Amino acid sequence: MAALGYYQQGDMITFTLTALDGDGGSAAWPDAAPTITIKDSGLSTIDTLTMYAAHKPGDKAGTGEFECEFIFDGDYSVDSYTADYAYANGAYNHSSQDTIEIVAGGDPDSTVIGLGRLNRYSYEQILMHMASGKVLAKRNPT
Amino acid sequence: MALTLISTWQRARPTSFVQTSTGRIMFANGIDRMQIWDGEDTTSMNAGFDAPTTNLTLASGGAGSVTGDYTAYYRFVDGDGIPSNFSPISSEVTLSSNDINYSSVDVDSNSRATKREIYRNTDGQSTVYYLDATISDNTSTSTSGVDNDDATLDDNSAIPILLGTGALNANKYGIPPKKAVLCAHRGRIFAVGNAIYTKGHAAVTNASATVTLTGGQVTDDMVDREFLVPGDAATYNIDSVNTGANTLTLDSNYAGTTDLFAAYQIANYEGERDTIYWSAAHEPEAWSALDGIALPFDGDEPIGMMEVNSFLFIFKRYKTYRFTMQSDPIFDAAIFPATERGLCSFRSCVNVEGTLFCLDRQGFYKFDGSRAEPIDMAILDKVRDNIDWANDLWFHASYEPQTRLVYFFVSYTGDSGTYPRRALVYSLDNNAWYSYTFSYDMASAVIVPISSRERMLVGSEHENVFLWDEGYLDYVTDETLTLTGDVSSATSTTVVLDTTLDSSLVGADIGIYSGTGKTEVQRIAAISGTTVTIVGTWTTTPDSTSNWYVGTFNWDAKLKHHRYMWHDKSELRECHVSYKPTTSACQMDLRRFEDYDTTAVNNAVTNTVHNVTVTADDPDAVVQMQLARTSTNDDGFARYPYSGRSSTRGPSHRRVATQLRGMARNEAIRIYDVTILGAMK
Repeated sequence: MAALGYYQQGDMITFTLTALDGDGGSAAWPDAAPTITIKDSGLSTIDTLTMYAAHKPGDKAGTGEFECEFIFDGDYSVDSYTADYAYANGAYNHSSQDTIEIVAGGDPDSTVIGLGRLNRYSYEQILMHMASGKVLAKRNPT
Repeated sequence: MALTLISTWQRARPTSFVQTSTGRIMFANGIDRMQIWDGEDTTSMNAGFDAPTTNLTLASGGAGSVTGDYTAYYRFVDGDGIPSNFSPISSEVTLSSNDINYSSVDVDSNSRATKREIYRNTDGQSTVYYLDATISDNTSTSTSGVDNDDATLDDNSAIPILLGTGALNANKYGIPPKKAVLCAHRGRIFAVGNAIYTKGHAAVTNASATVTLTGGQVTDDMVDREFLVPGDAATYNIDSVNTGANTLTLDSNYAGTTDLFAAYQIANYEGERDTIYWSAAHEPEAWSALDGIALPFDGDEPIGMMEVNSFLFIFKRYKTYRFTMQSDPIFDAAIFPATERGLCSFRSCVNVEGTLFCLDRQGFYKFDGSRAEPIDMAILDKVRDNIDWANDLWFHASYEPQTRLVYFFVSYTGDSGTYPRRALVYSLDNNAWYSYTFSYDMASAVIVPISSRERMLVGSEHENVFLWDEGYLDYVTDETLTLTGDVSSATSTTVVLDTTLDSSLVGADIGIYSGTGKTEVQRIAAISGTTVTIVGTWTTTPDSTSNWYVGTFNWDAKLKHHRYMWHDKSELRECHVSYKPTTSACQMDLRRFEDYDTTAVNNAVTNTVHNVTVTADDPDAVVQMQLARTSTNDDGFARYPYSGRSSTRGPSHRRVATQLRGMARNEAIRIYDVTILGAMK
């Protein structure tokens, strides 16, 4: 078990995992993509994620290497969470766990990754492309 | 209160925003369907009006005045009067003194239409169609008893199928192309650039046309794009998608080897990638399939566009073209090579008073429309050694008009995350470069008027948008809070302070400005009593000698190398700095580097002279900047003697560079001048 650190709502985390063969020895592709079940301190399941092969542009993933990029949304209140990894490879069933601390603050819409401006003559609208996948608009205050 | 214009917009690429000549804003990312927003509605909508896909039925009704051979189209029209393309044409019907019944007039399933217009020809021609009936809702599917003879019809609104030039007219209201970058030019919206989608992996099965994505999100706009698995020679058209199941259906069975975890690529077709498209003038939702032209093929792909004066410049990664037009580009456009420089991303260019300041993979340059001139000689080492080009999709440039500084937000190799956390800043007034390092993502920027002045906004984490060059501290909204003090103790992930911080400071940075761990800056994750937990771990754990400040960041200015005076006598060598004394405790380090060494020179002795304290075997000369008004304190002036002397006969240091550094406070740090005695300019 590893402590993955402190996060706020809207922070992005990349879970990583190297799947192993049936003996639990060397890296291997599993029967299906590993899953991550995130539970709060009361063991309630908050999210179930499916990991994907850690391909990089122009580069195939190393054998058994998986990752999963995830943004902590509004479902993540201040608490301690566990991330339970699971996959099967033949008769071998893998299970492991990491921990995450969600602390106060942040915003579930995450980072403002794009900004645009609409001049409406008497006022301005500011458009914000958020890492959460939303495009928001706010009126420019002046 | 923010409006959510759309909640399913891909984050795999930055968004390209453009204001139209009709007072709307369009945005695109090359993956999702292009959007348009009028500034008033609560949501954006798909740009381009989806036309009816089925024809209507034209049939004779009762006795009437219509005689001849007829066909009809219908189209959707929204509340602003914006139409769609025509539907497919109806079957031809011969009438003889009848009126007309129209049926099977489809409703707009997207609910954009507020009415549907039915157009019919006059007997003997099929090049111009006339408005014959209007269904003033989006619910009815028929209208009957329409009785306009040809003379009456001829007086109605007419729509030629083609213009006299041969250009599309009735069907110029096509769907915008699947392009990633938009630019307004001469009343039209231009679109170029290709988004290559590779997120996650694809499960491909030999002899099956179904592909399942994991980690990537299937969108409707992936239909009719190319799917391929790198290393597999075959490419496939995506015939349909199932966004619920996150699957693609290919145009033929996958011929390669079954792979549950395949890398994949979804992109526009190769012949499409070099094409630039444009909308009709002042009709940003009218995109004729014919209104496009291919750029010269050179093995490179368009990345961005920028309008300068009467030209549109189209950037590839290693080349730029100048696009010119007069009235209609389909007839009078011309494309010329402009420069052998390009862009690293569509946002890595900014127009300052008609000159473009750009970043490509060769470095920084300015471009006046005819000549590209490098501007980065002073920072070539940073360009070559530090910039992480793997993340250059997210690099962006902006111009801060108040300070006349051009900001290039970039990532360095080893920086955490995807988005820029550095700025390389070019001063227009003195052609100098500055660099900033941020502990937060600085992912986007835009210029807007604030209090009648053009100001720069920068988008950051946690939905924060910073008003640039405003205030002194980051993430601290109340600068009257207790923001500084002494460290009592610390562990690798915590620090115990001499006071309790306000809870609003969670998320701000805490910096160590003196003592053990000096220059460390970490984000506050939690506050419990006097114990602060940080997000990461200290590189050097502070201790009871350390002093802290919240909301701060490191500032740093390294001056160029000066040559020492060169003769055999004990020439005075000193650094003199004039500054504005601060009202609260604040310190600045003076450090010196000799003969281009990248390591600062350690001081030889321990003493304090003129506000400057040096410690033997430590490179920092610490200046106490607070206004003190004592007999030994020379407020606003620091004198840092350099040791050593020159020699014409033996080895000695020849050049010196001086560095000033410190941490931001809730007041301005003002350095008036730096003088190096014993060195030449």
